[in-house]
Amino acid sequence: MDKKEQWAKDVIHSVDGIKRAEPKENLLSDILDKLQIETKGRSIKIIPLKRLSWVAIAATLLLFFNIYAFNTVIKSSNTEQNIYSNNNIYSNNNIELITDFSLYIIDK
Amino acid sequence: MEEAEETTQDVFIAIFQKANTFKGMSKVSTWIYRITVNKALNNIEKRNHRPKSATEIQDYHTIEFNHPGIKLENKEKAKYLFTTIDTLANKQKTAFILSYIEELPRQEVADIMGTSLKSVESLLQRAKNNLRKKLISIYPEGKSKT
Repeated sequence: MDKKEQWAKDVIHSVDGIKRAEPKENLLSDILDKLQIETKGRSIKIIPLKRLSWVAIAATLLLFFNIYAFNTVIKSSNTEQNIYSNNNIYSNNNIELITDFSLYIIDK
Repeated sequence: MEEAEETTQDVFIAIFQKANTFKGMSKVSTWIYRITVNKALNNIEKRNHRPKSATEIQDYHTIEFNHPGIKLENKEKAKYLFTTIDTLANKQKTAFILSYIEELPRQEVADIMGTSLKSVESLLQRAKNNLRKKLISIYPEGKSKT
């Protein structure tokens, strides 16, 4: 092989095993500074993942309590309806002291 | 070095601004590489100072070159290589750098460049042939060949 060709080949292989260049230490702060300029002074808030997890847990608990409370209200309202609609005990006696049952419901 | 840092900053700003447009159709790294390649090529175009002839390559070669990841014994040759890579057409340059410097798999290079595997292989073949020809033309006669 011609010495020029050999040299060209060596040059092409001179980057074999090249290591990645490390960024300088303050590159991140430079990027954040530039981002603030780019976003025209609007403050950039980066929410840490840990805080986001707490928000997710709180939201889940809130949802769970809401579902639980909703179910309890539905159940209790069904029970009330059963009690008030069971007016046969009064009508069977043919003596109705109070005929307007809705009074109870409204008061309740 | 300064130019590389500037490009890095531009890339991160672009990622921040375009994060909501990422559709997850490719790997995040592929998407970031694509942004990086575009930003780097744009910055090179802005600089508009690309050596073309053999004489220009040799003149350009005298500019200080400093890549911290290259072994000391290879620095001189790597300097010639990077100067010559800079003379290649953008597509050949991108394919060569991603394949041989970044050592990415050919398929990922194709994904980044938005082209086919076959096309990447053809670009690499042309890039290597062009590099070889250009390097032979700038062979430093009488100078240190280390």
